[in-house]
Formats: sequence, C-alpha cells, structure tokens
Amino acid sequence: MVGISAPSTLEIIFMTCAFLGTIFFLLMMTLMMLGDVLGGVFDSVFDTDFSMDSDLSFELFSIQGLAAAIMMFGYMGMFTLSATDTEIYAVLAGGLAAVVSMYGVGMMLKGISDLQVDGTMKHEDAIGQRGQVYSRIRANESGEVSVAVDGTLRVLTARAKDKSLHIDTGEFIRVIDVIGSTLIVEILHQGNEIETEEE
Amino acid sequence: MLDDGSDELINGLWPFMKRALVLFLPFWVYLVCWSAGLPLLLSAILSGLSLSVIIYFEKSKLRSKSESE
Repeated sequence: MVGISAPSTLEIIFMTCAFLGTIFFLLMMTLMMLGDVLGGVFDSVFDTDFSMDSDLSFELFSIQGLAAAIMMFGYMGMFTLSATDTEIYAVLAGGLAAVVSMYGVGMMLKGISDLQVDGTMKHEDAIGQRGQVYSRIRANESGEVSVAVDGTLRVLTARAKDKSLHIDTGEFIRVIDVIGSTLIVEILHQGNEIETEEE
Repeated sequence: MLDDGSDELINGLWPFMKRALVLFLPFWVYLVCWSAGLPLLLSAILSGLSLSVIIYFEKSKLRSKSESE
C-alpha cells in the first residue's frame, strides 16, 4: 500500500539498534556536556564533594562507545540493506561499522589519556641547567636558586659544591648534582658559559 | 582477588572490549549465519562457539605477553 511494506525481521533489528543506539548515544553526550554544570549544582545544593574517579569515567565512556557501536550497526546495516537488498552484506557491513566506531571511541579514549601530564617535578632533571642565585648561598649553608626544570622556572634550595664558597644573589650558577631536594651548584664563570654555548 | 593480567591487554581496553564482544559477537555471528541461509541449529551452535574465540584470543595474548617478559 502506497509503497510501504511491513519491515522484515532484519530491518526491525537494524531499526531498533539505530533508534536505541542514537537515543542512548545522544543521552550520554548530553550528560557528558552537562556533567560539570549539574555536578556543580549538586555539590552546591547538597554541600557534597562528589567526584568520579578515572575508573568510573572510563566505564561511562565505554558505555558511550557501546552506544555508538550499536547506533552505527543499525544505521550501516539499514543503509546497506536498502542499497543492496542483500541481508548478509548488511550484517557484515553493520558489524564492520560497529567495530570501526568502537575503535574510534578507543582512539578518543587514548587521546584523552595522553592529554594527562604528570606534573611531578624530578629534581634530577635540573642537573646541567644554568640559573641564577635567588637568595645568597653562604659558606657551608643553603640558599635558593632559580633554575628551569622541565620547562618551568622554579626556585629551589641549593648549596655550593665548594663548601667554603659564598655565592651572592644574582650570580649565575650551574647545577652539577642533586642530593635529596637540594641542588649542588657551582658558579658559572664566563668561560664555562662560552664553552657550553659552543657545544 | 587474583589478577590474571588481562586488564592491561590492548592498552587497557581489553576488559571493555571483552564485555562488549561477549554481548554482541554471538548475536552478530548468529545474524551472519542466519542471513547466509544456514539452518537455525547450526547458526546457534556457531554463535555459541564464537565465544570461545574471545577466550582463546585472551589466553594467546596473555601467553605471548608472559613469554615476552
């Protein structure tokens, strides 16, 4: 009747997958977008500190990937079925689309996890760096120096390599060793600086 | 709780993939067999057997991982 016929079993399966997958995917996306806003409102109203740890958020993302896979299975299956009118092609194409979409979500997860940066400073990375004395280093006492460690300028406790040496504020220094969180430094003479630049 | 080490397979995605595959692989295999015109009984048996592929994959990956270590 007017070009509309009852859907086959496979068409019903594909349509159900596409419908439910889309609803679920959009719901998850909406919740993800609104998560921060609603979470903030929830925390303010109920005076709680609810936060999702990485495992839980990972599971939620997984559900999102699953929803995307179901959605793509339905859409691609339905599209292939209407285009080729061959059921097995539709099932195979739907499965392929589901795998590809799941892989895409996996890549997205990997990209998100790669964005995380370990901000822990390693004092050992300061060895060899040149800097300036921030707070004078008295003989056999500690002072403070400012050096760039891992791309960030930091003020750290330092002692002179030569214990009898007094290094005034503003002197240029080079870090030669680290003991605990204390840098061992030596004065950077003009000759040393030139040598380093030539290297 | 014993840790079988499978959590770290495929950059840590395997636990998720495993659950998804256990849910959908038999269904997909059944649909493929059924749409290919195979008898229902054979389709059902093959879809059930597809679960063993997941376990076999996990075990083989764990074995190769332990051998490499």
